[in-house]
Amino acid sequence: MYIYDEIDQQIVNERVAQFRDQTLRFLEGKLTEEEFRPLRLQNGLYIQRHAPMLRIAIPYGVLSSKQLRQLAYIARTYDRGTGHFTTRQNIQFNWPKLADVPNILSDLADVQMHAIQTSGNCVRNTTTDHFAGVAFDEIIDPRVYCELIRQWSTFHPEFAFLPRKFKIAVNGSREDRAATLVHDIGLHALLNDRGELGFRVMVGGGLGRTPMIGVVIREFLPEKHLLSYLDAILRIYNRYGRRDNKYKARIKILVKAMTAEKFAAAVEEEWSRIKDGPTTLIDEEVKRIKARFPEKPYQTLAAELPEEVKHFVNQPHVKAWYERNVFAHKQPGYKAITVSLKALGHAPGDMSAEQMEVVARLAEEVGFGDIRVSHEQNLILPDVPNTAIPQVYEALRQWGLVTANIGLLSNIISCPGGDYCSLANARSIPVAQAIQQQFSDLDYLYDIGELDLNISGCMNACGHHHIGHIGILGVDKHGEEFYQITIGGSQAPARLGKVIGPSLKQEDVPQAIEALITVYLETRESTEERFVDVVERLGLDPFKVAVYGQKDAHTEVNHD
Amino acid sequence: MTKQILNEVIVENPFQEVADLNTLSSYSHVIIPIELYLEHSSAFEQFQGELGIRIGTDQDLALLVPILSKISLIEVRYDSFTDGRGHSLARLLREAYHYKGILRASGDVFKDTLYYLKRCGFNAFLVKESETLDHALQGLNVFTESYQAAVDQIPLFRRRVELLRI
Ligand code: SF4
Repeated sequence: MYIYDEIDQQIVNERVAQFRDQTLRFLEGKLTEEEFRPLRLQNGLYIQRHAPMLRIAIPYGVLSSKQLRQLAYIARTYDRGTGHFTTRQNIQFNWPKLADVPNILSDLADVQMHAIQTSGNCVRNTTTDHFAGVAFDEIIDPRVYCELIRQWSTFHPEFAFLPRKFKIAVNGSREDRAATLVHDIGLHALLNDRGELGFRVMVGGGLGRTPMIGVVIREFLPEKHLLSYLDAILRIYNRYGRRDNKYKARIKILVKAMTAEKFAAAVEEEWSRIKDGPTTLIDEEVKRIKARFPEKPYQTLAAELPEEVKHFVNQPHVKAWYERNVFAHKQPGYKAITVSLKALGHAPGDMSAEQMEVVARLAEEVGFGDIRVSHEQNLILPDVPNTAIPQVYEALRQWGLVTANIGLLSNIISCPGGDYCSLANARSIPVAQAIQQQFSDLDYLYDIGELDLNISGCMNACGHHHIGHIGILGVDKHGEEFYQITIGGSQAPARLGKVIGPSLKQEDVPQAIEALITVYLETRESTEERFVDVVERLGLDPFKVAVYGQKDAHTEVNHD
Repeated sequence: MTKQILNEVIVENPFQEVADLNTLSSYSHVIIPIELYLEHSSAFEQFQGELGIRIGTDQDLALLVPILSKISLIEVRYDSFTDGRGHSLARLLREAYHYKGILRASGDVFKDTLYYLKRCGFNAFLVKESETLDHALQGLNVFTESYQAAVDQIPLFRRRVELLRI
């Protein structure tokens, strides 16, 4: 994590004091609900179905063991002992009391955390690759730029009240693991032919009600202009984005209405006025931020697994886990290990206080106290030496954290849905559990291979259903919960799934998924060909027929 | 006379509404909506006193910029404090058009909105009915430091080393 200095600390402390004052005034009736609502949202506080929900920022998914331990403390003290990790690399608590929230924020500030701008119509937590800093194919360490953006966006006085929420993603590797094409702004690091660092700038991507893939508005933005260029984009959006209809208020709608070329031209014109001003980055600052991510004293290790570890991971019950949940590291002899929060019978992304403490302890014992949150709602221990693999496995296994399903169908990504979220059309957790139940046989899962399944409880698409190989969306039909299924979406390359037909009742969803999988298994040309590849090759028809039968799939054909 | 916050202190607000244009010359300070000005610009051009113009958050700057040198107050009226367009307008007026007069926010203005407004270049405030000027004043300096550049400050990264040395 980035380590605060006194000034960073003072800013979060002052925020706690400010929010304490706002909450008190609200509770005393001195601030109206209308006034308090936008203020509390800028601090991640929603009023949900059961109780307030508090969303806490985990900047770009980077956590220290000390911070995770504090989250465990908060879960136990103010919640019912669990936290929910979200697809945006944050954590949510579903049961805090409003009057406790200022104390929670104060506990967070003690470990250099906050809930600033985790909701509301402002610039949200910047997200990136969960292997940032340890990935083998990295061009730059994106955490440095994420932190620069975090500081630039924190309490940005001009952009606190945008037409709608605003999400930025930064990718620092060759492969895009940050889904930059489905963010309001996506930044992809590149080196030009002189070896200088810059970013490809994409705007207007996003999921939600009108899913769109971002468009490139600048092929190469030199590093030092990063923040002034962001200022220019945000200013155009702030001034001209629609404010009359919240469903048309995202930047993607503005980009589409203006056309990408005109939007880009407007940004360039605005930028030409502020370019080379004081917001231009200076090398000292980039270096200073780099230096505030602690060095990791890696040992010199052999790349090969030691014999006894090789033996350990070859045991039948460990093998699948090792293959699915253990990733290559840029440092020889180290691995990044995914801690699965997708155990059968548990809500995806949920983690108990005890589990958090186990992971925090492991991170300290075998790593350097560094932990990551992935947008797939799992945690990652990024620096495990090969020799510690058996120890890590055993500790995680005792706490139900070794489900060997990363990248497989049962690694479901799901929003909290109707059990917690007041915007939901339908519940998502029971659907996720029913599907996990249906596909609990690991051998079968293995045979199916790589498959991303995403579930959202409503159009807001917090579960990113459009980019799931299979996506499930909760819809409301005359007050009843129904589910619409899309197939063929993908995160990288970013592609949006297509709807296969009329929405289904909850109890019919697992069979429908089974039917889709059966078509896939029967038609794939080899085990290399993934579900999503088959959809690409064959189109939707065979899948429609499998789910709805011949007639419904081709309603436009024969009606006799 | 009503009161306002001006440059962080509570003072009289000398700008008055005019009901009848024929009486214009009897005022020392007037404030009028920009539409009225554009309609009767010649009358106002002859006005000897201090002129204030009221605009909305969606004001087209092309209409305002040509008259900047003639006015000493611009008031941006916020129907809702969550309408951030006014914040961009303020910065543009200060930073792109170098407007040096009073820039005042009115409407849905209260303690919790002042800090951002000030950073965007507002130096005067009329607060909403349910708020008092004394209370609102406390909102001006809730943060001692800020990260990014705005009208009041260059970015923290150009000052940090110096600040930490003190
Ligand atoms: S997708 Fe809808 S139901 Fe799910 S968390 Fe987001 S807003 Fe709530």
